[in-house]
Amino acid sequence: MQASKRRLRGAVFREIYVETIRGLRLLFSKPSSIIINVLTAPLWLAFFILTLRGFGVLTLGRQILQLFLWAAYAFALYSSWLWGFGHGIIEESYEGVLENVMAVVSNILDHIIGWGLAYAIYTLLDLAALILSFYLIFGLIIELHNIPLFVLSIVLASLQLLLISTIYVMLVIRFRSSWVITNIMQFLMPALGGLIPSEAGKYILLLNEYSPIAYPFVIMREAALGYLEVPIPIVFQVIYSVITIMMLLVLTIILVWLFDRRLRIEGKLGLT
Amino acid sequence: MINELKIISREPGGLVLLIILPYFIAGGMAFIASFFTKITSNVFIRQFVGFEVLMLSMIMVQTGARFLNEERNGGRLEFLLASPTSMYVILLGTSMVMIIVDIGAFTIASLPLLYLNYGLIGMIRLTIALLLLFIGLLPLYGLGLLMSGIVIKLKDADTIMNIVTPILTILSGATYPIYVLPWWIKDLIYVLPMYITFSSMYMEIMGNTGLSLILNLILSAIIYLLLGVTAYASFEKEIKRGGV
Repeated sequence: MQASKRRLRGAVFREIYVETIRGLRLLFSKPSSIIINVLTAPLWLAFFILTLRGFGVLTLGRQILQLFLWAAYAFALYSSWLWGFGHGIIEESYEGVLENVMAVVSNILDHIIGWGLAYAIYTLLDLAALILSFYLIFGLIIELHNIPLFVLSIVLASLQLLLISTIYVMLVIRFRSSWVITNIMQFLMPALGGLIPSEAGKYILLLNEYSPIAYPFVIMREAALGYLEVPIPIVFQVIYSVITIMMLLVLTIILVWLFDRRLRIEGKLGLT
Repeated sequence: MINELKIISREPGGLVLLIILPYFIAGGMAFIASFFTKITSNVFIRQFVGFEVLMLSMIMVQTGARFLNEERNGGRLEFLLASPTSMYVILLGTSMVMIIVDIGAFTIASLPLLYLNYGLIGMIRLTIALLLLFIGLLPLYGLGLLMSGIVIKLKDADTIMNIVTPILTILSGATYPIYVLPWWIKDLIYVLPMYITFSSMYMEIMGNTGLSLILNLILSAIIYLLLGVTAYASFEKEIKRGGV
């Protein structure tokens, strides 16, 4: 019994490993597009700053620029996970690729986790592109006061976004115009999920304090800038974040199980 | 055109998005800027029109290229090239639908904002601004033709669009004061059609239209249409000789 459990666990890890490697090979299969993304990031940043100028903002201090950097990274993460990861699975479903994946993977969750791990590694490029852009345009060198906490915040943010994107995908996979919902979500969710620094106002502070999905991004800024943004000890912020992730994980497992069962029993794949 | 309209109407959410997205983007930027400075209604309207022009410009430039890319991926491009209908007619049909949809979206999105700020006179100015938008989208169709030619020649729409979109966005000059830029970028902005379209529309909405701006816009439409048609013809000739 024990041996069979171990074998099963080993098989699951092997599947996740294979899916991760497959995802990484897919994501890095077009180096030209990666180079273009890195090279065009400063242009987007310059456009953003020029547009602020259009609104009448004339000067930006170093502290504000540091906050902008982390807000931009949070937005890039939300956008990348919803579009790249979430829509990747939606496309797989529409194009029938998911059927083939299901034929070789024992549980669709293995595929999602594997692909998610690959995507989490890939999104580090977004951070690299942003750091480079801020350096090129403003000569800004990032501050990192607590590196282990900063790394932990990226792990927490990635796990949370993996689970949120998966739940989102499971819910919308049969909807039409899912890209429209994604477009709206990519603006609404970050606002609720810790994108805006608490310094922006008392309502934002309240939002960041009480929104359970905001903590990884708040911790990210706190670790980088070295001060508490919300009046909660950092340990508790991490604990709240872990609890949120655990709850999202349970919800994801239930939804994926229902989705998997529906697909296997009823055979409703693609656009049916 | 009817086919394209049917395709677009299958996704009503996309049309709704076209209307609300400028509010999201201009509103979001105004929200960020409001922490540093006071945002007046005139500033917001200028930025809103700027984002609208920018968004519609990008759609216009990309429509033809995306269409041809999809046709090629679906294996239908060879048949389209072999059909007696000219590709210009097909691309014009596709782009005309986008022009109609874009103008419709702009009208619906701008109506409440302009009515609240300028009342009935704002509606009259909006009508003229829409006409200017129509003229402004024509040179962008010309640019779109050029892009279509490049895409079918280089066979990689995504990479080309990923390079062209941020460059055109920053060279639009529609959402920021261009005097802060070096002279050579400013000259590039003046040459491209987005800034002239934005300026003439915004000036019209403010009630200060200059005839020279409108003449520039018409001239730009003629030049870019000629450029697009000539460039596309040369690319198509090459493709017909070498194969898709």
